[in-house]
Amino acid sequence: MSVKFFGQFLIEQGEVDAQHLRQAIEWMSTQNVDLGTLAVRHGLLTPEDTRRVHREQRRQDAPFGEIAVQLGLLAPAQVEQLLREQEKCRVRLGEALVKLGHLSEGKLGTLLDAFKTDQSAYDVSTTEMLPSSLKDSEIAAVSLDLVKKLSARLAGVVVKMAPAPSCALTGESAFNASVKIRGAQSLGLAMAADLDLAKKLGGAATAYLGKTPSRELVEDALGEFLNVVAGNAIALLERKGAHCELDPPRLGQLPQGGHCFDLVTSAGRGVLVLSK
Amino acid sequence: MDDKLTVVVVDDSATARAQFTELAGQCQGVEIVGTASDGAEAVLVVAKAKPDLVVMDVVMPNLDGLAALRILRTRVPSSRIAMASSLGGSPGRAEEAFRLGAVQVISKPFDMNQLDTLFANEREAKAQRQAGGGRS
Repeated sequence: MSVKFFGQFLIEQGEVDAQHLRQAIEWMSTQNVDLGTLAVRHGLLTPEDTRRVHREQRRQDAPFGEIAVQLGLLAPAQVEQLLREQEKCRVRLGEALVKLGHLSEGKLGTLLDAFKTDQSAYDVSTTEMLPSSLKDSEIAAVSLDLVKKLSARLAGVVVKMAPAPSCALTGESAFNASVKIRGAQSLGLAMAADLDLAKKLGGAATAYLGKTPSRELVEDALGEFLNVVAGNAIALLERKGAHCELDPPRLGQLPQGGHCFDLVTSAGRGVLVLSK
Repeated sequence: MDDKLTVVVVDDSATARAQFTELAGQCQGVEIVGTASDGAEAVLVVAKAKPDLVVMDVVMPNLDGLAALRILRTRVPSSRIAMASSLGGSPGRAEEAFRLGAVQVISKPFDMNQLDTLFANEREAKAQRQAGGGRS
């Protein structure tokens, strides 16, 4: 048993094959739109406005609509309207597979229940996932949470995580970076990611990576992503009066020791390592 | 009199330096005259190149951006310095950068609009300096 997405579960159960899954995901991507795209379509925002909101999202942990209101680009009522429309159009994987005829509607409910039971062990808050040595570490809980949120908000990557006994991603296929937070609270935050995940997260953080960047650039960009996570974590603590500093990213090798978390994502695999 | 705005970019991130160089290369009248990957290297490069503008990261190894800013304001007062950061909203850090003499604090990753505005302001500041014969 391991942490997984519904699509992986369906393949393992022999209910769909990889091609069905790809078709469903492609169709979903044409139906599901982010709030900024929707606002541009309605003429409420310009593409530059959405870029401005995305920039701000790197600096503060808040959804697109909330920041657009803060910046005076949208009224709260407009955000509510857009969110309603977004939800109305939203297609989930199961619905897409049914729509494309790869799964029957009757079977979908049963499979969703089975999936929920299979994944119940992982359906816990990030704080509950922390090992006993980090249970009281606010910055560890905040950072774990931010890895999920910022992956989704900046890169559109959905992340599921589960504690792991060791780092399962090593060798040439692993792209590594780490940062260190010190001060009122301290934490080492390291990530090993496969090429797809590292490019997706790093590309979102740096807005630069091309199609075939060098290993050095990919790890550098992954380090920038961790910088953004750690910077947001520090900002949250500073608002509570706890001052922390951030050391520059270290690239190429994970620090020894620490607690590992497997990252199963919509863009690839990774391992997050937290240490005191 | 040279009308080009000369710029040095300082960042420990290779992607940030490459992105800045690419975007600045698309701006007319801007010339990158040097790069550095930490604060200590920045002090040497800026002292030699004496650019109109330095765009410098905050968190860097060896000598961080704020420490380098403090040194450069004394050693190369003719170069104006903008600080760049990808970190979450820490108003204290931006305030400190302004207190130490930064002309602007911008966020990373860089984008064209932001750099256009920065370069336009700095061209104006350069023109005023040249017209008045004064320094920054």
